[in-house]
Amino acid sequence: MIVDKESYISLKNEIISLSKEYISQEELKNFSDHIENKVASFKPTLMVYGVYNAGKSTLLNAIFGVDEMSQTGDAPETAEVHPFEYNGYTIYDTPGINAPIKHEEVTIEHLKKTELVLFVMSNDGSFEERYVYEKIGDIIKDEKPVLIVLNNKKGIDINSSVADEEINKINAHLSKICDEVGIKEAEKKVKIVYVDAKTALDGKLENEDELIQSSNILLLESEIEKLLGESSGTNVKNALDRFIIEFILRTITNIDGKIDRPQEKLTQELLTYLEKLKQKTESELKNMALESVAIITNSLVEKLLAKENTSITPMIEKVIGEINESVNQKLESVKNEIRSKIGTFESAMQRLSIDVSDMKSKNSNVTENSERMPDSDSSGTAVAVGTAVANFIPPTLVIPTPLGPIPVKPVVQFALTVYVIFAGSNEAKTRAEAELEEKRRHHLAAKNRGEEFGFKYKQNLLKNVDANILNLFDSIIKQYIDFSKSICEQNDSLLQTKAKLQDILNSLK
Amino acid sequence: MTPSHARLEPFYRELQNISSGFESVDKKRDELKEMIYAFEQKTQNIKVDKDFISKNEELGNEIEAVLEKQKEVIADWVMNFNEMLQREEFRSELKEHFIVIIFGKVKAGKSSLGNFIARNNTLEQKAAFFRYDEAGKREEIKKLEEIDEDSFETNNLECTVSIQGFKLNGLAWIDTPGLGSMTPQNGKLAQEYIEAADYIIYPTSSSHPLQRDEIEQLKELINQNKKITVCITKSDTTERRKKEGGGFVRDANGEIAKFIINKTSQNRESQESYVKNEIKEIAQNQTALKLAELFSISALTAQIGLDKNNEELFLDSNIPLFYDSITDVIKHAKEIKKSVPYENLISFIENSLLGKNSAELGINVLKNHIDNLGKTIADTKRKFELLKQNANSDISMEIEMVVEEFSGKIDKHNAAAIFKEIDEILSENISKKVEESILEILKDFTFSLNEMEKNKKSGDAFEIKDIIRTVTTRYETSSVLRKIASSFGLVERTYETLREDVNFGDNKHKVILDFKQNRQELFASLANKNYDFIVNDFLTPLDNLFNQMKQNIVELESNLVGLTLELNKIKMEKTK
Repeated sequence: MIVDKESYISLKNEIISLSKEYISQEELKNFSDHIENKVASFKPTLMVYGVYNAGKSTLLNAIFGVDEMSQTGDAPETAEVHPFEYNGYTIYDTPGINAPIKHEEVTIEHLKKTELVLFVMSNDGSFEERYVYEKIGDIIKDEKPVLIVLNNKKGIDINSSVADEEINKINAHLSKICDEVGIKEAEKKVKIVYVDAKTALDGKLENEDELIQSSNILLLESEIEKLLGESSGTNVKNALDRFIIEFILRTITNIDGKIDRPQEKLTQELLTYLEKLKQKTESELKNMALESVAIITNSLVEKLLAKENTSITPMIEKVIGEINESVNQKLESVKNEIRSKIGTFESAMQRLSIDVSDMKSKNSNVTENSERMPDSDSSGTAVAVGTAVANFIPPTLVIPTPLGPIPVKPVVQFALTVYVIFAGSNEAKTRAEAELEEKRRHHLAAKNRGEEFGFKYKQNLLKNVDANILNLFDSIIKQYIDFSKSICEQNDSLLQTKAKLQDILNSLK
Repeated sequence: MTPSHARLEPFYRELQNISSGFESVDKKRDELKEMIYAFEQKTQNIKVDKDFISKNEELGNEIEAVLEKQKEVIADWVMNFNEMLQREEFRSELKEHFIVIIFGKVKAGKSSLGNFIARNNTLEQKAAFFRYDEAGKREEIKKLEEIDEDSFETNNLECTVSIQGFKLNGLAWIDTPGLGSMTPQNGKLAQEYIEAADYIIYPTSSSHPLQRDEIEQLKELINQNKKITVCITKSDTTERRKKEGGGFVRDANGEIAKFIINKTSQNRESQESYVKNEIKEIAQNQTALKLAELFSISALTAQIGLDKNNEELFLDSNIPLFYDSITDVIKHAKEIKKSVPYENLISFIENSLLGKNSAELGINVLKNHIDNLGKTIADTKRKFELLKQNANSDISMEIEMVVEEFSGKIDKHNAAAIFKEIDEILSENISKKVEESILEILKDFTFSLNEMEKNKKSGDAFEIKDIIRTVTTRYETSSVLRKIASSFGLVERTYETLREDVNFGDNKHKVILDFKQNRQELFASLANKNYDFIVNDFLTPLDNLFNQMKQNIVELESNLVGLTLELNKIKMEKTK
């Protein structure tokens, strides 16, 4: 329970700092101004409220005894809230309810601020209508004092039994409607004054005391005085609390609209998928690489043993060409997969995004990048992909250079030396044994050369696989991680703000 | 007869000329009924297995909700249809008459206008008043009661809901309880009777012409293809008068006297132009409101004018002009009456069944429900696809991991045993992974390894062997003699071969690679079989169910649209 003015101001500031991102500037200003004004004066205001054409404006003119103080007409006219000073208080004239013109929001907004209500209905129709009592019931529910003015538009004798019956009827209707919504003894909470506004106005303008007397306007005026005089800080406090509660509830509704669980979930799904695809692609590419290593190592050994030195380079180039091609194909198909997955993800996000513009700005970063991926076929982006592929084992450069020239010659030379050593001997067996030894060494040398080459080739291939995986996945995964974080952070802060606002609500209720 | 009375006479004469244009649309109505029943039948034929529904709670609930909604909507249709039949009964009771229904808000001056028309008949025939009591029994009454008025004396706030009216020559004037009153069922009854009308007069009170709820009511009438005249009623007010010498004119009791007068023409014009503008906005291109002009009238001043022979008061009441415009309408009574049953049926189809004017009505409700179900199904399928793709990645990762763990230990002696062990671990882990992913969609699922053994290339096939290459040389062992002999071809020379095995290591890496590839294919295909099972057993039937529902609706919709086109055509021919 808040009692002093200072705490209203600090409460106001707290609420504004919590809700400023979720409420329009205009509404914020309205909220802030109203609280400041109320706290400054702590005076109640009275609002003239009611069915259109029931005679609100005529009534105000009658009270002030001026002809065109407030515009009157037979078709809906009042479209704005007009303040009038009355004995140091402010009375507001408001557009009528159920009028076809779209100004009822103004009235509803004002109703939230006001402390006291003068509800005007006429005896020529509207007092038989259900919605009129529903509106009055709403005000009673808000614990705001209501004074019902029954305007004698029909022109009956307001001191007659017919008039009494009408008053009784209004009471009965009101208590019936209020019973339905659980407000007990509603008729005790309102006062009804039968007034002939037109006669009162005429009386005041023409200075005809008989008219003034018979119009009941003096009774109404004294009732208004009483209402204003009796109403205390409690009324103001009550109205102010309700005004604040309503504002907080509106903010919470806006916050709820922004909390985005499904988007969070979708992004997480996509991330999981990308991570898994990354791992899978990596292991597939590595297995392909290892297979290629086995092929090249074996072939190289065979060629060395067969001394087909000239066909070694074409063989290596062929194997490298093949691995390049199959890795390329694999990467292309993975890219296609990612492309289609991101496409599905984005359309799902678009279906979800309640506030499209908001979502767009958050998403733009990701969208741009992810769109670049799928379009890799188009000329501009083909360069990026082409570069990635070019980095991957360029056959003429990467493989031969670190290995040096294909090591055929040393083996042959060694073989010749052995032959020379044993050339002079007549001992065939000895020579054969030497030759066998030479062959063995030749095999071992070929094996070692092959494996040595294979090892370097393997290292090269794996390095390139890593580079490709990094190139393909890391930036995109990072982007989605950032995106997911931003959604989570936003949701977290929304939830926190909501919780704080709910705390304030509970302290007010 | 005063000139004022004479002014009204053409209207009453025209009433004598009304000839019946009663049309029966029973056949077409039966066709419509058949369509609804056929749809109901088809809906009932969609049988959904309880087991099937329980497989996925969210989807199951949604399917049941759609089926439930269909039942509900169809029941509504049948009820509305029967109500329509009741109104038709009312129409056929009055089939010789042109049925004018006055329909509007509480206190809009409905009964006063009716009483005025009945009371001021200048011709022989008297108006015959009647009223339907709560039980629908007809009784005679003397005049139209203020049925809006709650009878307060008896403290009975729930006044009797009833329909009253009178017959005058070819005219049947029906008075309805007011809308928006304290007793909502009054308004409901009035709404129901609207369908029976050949023509509608919609009064709006001059005390607050055309309130927002009245605009909504008019919109609805226009949507129902109703022919309407709007009028501003109670365009009167009171004034005090001063005597020439000063002081007010007073009544017998000495009170200041009040004189009932027409509202000023300026006042009335502003109201008329306001109402006209509003109507123009809501009617758009509708022709329904063009039949009669709009006047602000006062039955009260007209009556006083007649009674007191005050011609000016009478003429300014605008009642004569109002009579003229209604007379014009009545000249077309026959063709209007002919078209009404078609209009009603078309309106019923368009509004109650097709929900032309609201997403919350008729077939639209079902479409929305079914479309939402479609979205959930699509979402489930999307999720399923994702789970399947993720599981495939998981399988390859699992194989990599497990094989990696063992690869150091594998050698040619233990290969078979270790591969067997790896297989066991893989079977268990992969089954679990696939099962987990499928359980996100289905309540119960067990991964089936049935096909495993028969497709499996046994671990024995992945044998690790040493790679041995044998190098050989040959040398001659023949003696000199043998060499000579051999040169004459007598003997063969002899040779000895030397061989040595060179160890090239083993094929372990290749075998492991092959094993991995083989298992990847094997488990992926096993998993896919399990996923396919879900597709066949759950997702496809789900799709079929959805398509069936969708198709039924589309079929019904096209039938209904066809019927309205046909009805429009017949109506045009009949009223040519």
